[in-house]
Amino acid sequence: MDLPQTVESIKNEVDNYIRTVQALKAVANELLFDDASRKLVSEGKAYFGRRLDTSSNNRISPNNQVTPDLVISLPLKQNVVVEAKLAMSGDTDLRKSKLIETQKYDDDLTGFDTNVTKVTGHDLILLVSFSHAKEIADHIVDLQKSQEIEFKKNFAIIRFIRNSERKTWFVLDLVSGGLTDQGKTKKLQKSVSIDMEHLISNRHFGSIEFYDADPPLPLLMHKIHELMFNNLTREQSLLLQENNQVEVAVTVSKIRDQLADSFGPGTASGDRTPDIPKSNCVDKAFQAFVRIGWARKIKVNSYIYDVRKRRKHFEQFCKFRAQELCKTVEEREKQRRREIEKLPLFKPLLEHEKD
Amino acid sequence: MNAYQKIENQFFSPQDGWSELREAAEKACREGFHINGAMFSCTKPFNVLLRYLKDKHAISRGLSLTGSKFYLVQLNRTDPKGNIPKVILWEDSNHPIVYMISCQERPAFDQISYSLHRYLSPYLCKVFLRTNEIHRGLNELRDTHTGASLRVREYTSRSLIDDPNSVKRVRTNREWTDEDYEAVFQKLGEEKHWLNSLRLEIRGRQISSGRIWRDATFSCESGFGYFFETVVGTVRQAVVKSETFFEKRDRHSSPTHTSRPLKIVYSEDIFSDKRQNYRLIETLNRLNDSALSVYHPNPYFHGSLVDYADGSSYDLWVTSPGAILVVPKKSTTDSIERVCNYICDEFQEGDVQEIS
Repeated sequence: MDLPQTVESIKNEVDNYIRTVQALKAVANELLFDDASRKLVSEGKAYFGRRLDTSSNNRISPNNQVTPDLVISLPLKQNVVVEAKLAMSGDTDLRKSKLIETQKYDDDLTGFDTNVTKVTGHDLILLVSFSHAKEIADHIVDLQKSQEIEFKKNFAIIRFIRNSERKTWFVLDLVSGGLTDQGKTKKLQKSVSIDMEHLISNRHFGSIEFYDADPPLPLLMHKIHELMFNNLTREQSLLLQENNQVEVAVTVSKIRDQLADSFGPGTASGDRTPDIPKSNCVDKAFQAFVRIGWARKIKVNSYIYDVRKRRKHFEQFCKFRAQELCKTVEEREKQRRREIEKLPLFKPLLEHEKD
Repeated sequence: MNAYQKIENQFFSPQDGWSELREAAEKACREGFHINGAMFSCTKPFNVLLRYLKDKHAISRGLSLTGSKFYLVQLNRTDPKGNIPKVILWEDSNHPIVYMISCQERPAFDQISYSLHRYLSPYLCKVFLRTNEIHRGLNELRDTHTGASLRVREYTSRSLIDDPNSVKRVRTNREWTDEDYEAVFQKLGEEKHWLNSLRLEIRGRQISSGRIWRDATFSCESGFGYFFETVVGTVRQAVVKSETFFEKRDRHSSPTHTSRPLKIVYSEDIFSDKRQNYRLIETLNRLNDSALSVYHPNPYFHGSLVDYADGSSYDLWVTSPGAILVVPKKSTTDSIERVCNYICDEFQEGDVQEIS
């Protein structure tokens, strides 16, 4: 595995994550946008992650909780549940299992915000990237024909693309299916372009940077590093100025809460707010800080972070992650070779495993 | 004691009130001294800043404070010429603004004002004014002081170097002249220059002369009282407006509990040429005491900037050809002023606006 290539693929993973958040914001913006008044419906709500309850009839996860990436509630309108699947695998079996799993939202879900709307039903949107949209739509049709997948609710596949011509736009367009709201369906069939500036400066959800998928490790480390500086007390700042370094004791839960507050979906969903980001992800990030020498563990879920003014920290995190991945691949390869040497008769099987 | 020391001692001796301080400054000017000064906005009450100037951290940094109302602050380290840098510090009676002045030479003044700002940051905020803000301020001065003439004797400005082979991207220009300020601002606009400093002569009830810089510092050569009333008074209004514009923009301090982004708007579509994205990245990478992370350089730019000076952080975006979006995540007024001014001064000056 080539290090520069791995660094590049990690950066692409980060970009995909950021792009997904932007795409969800674009969908929220469009669904909350009132075409008559040309502004967002003030009573409408967008939840970037909300725990909903499934029924006993749920085909995938009965009597459980599910967390769609986005829930839109509007007064007197059908709720909309959105699931983003950008990095859909090229492996047909893997993709099939992901698509089948989407059926967990095709249920009489409960737990929508009744303060916004008394309507209990919902539509379902699968949000996919432009490049995979056709393939995914065809795959779903095949699965429907073979009765391996079924959607009883209104189900729509919307694809999106970032379009940078003169300005940068998010373009959404409906590939198949439709929503209860016929006006939105027709509009999305023709495709909708949203100025990226509107999404960035949106007062309600502009600051959201995490959704219900684990952020890539370098991105999370980057956010934590910045947060450590945001949090410094005056005393600590002065010590940093004097000594170019200050040690700060932190707990995973405190940092997780601060990350959730700064970049997560907030607490609008009350008890139904999911843990975004998850504590174990934050802990993994701190473990990575320990490995890179920027923190040390003092006890379970507690660390000392070595706050220093470091340049190009995001680059360093991407490179560090790439080095770890390359090392893991290398070690696996060495292990495989050793096994081949020990068990030459199993060589074809072990060679196949590599592929 | 030589004549220089005598004047300096008189200037820094305890002053009972503004008229005594003004008189001491006028006298120093008459003796050929320049009165160097600066204005800062403050985000904590003045008495809190004074308390900080008396604590153990101030002592360890060599800062000492004496006096009352007009305080004497000393830096107990000598400048290259062997002087102990000193300033007189006081607060504005109507606005959250702090002034500092000194009759010492500019290097000594810069040394102590830098130390004070660094120590009291982010509560003592450095304010930067853009060309149009200084222009508007001088227009107000002309309107409120009927009959006064404002002659520009010298100015420094900056402009872009068009040559793509040049290592430097911005040039500094210096002009000696004797023109009405309006003519100078017209020329700056036509030549796409942005102002760095302006040496003015004001002829009205009295005559005074001095220089103002875009970082709200000044230097008076003659007629200190009139200069302070007119030019510094004008800059003060701009400082108050600027402070109001930049304050409470992050999610935590904003009254709406949401980030209030702003944008630096250019009159031309400069980012139509995508090489400008990379020039912006290069420029931001040179910002002192900060770190830039680039998520996406091209065709649109998305980066994250952490200002290590006080721990503020921002998302920066270029998604349209004529503007840079600055989205404060956690930010202080001092930092956001610094970042916006840096972009305007080192990349290209634009109009800093609210996003509508």
